[in-house]
Amino acid sequence: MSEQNEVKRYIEQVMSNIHAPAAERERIEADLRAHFQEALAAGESPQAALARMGTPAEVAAEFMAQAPLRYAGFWWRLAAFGLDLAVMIVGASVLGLVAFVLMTRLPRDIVGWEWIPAVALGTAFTASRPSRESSGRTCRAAAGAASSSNTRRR
Amino acid sequence: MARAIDRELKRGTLEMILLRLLSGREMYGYELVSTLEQHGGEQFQLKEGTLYPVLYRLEKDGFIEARWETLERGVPRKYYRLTKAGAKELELLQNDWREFTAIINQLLDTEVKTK
Repeated sequence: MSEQNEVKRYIEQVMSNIHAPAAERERIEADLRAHFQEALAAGESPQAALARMGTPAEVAAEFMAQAPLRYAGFWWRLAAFGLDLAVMIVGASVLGLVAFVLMTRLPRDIVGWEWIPAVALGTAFTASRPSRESSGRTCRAAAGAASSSNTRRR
Repeated sequence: MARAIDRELKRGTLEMILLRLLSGREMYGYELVSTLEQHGGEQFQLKEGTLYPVLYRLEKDGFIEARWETLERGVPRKYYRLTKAGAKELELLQNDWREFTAIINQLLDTEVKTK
């Protein structure tokens, strides 16, 4: 890996941990780049320059620690609440609309849809059940046996 | 080798040291680090990642000003210089530090009575 790539990758790693406005990010990136350029021009190896700077996570944490936490004023908080409320209303409306469409468009008599639970429950369950035809045969055989025994008794 | 100065102690005094360095002449980031290393030696080595956030804070508070200059070889360099407010702040910080260290020295030199 070339010197430039190593430094570039390091700066990218730092920047991936910086969560700040674009202008602030540009400023940090420019300062880091200029610093490394100076270090390399002074004859330092990229490894030494990177080690002196600290790990990317440490550097990012230092920058982030400087970012002030600002208390949002009343109107900003009201706007945020309004936005949250709007998102909830839109989400509920979409879900309601989907439910309404499903209720009105789907057939009430769902003949032909039996396969859906069968598939959901698994084919093993349906295979273990006797088919209508075979169970009918069993019933008829049982009925025949009962009637013949009755005749003999008589 | 002497034990390195505590990280928190260094961090707490870094603003004052940087203002002091910039009171002489304008300097760029790498130059500040190199000068610190020359004068402070191993005991005052700091992770360079801590330098820029402190410079940002000083700039935001109006104690230093920054300007970019592009060198002939095309490398941009950011110079920092002390403002009037920065000079006043440095004076206050230096006074505080001298008072503080005097008290600490006094406390350390005091004989502790044992039972």
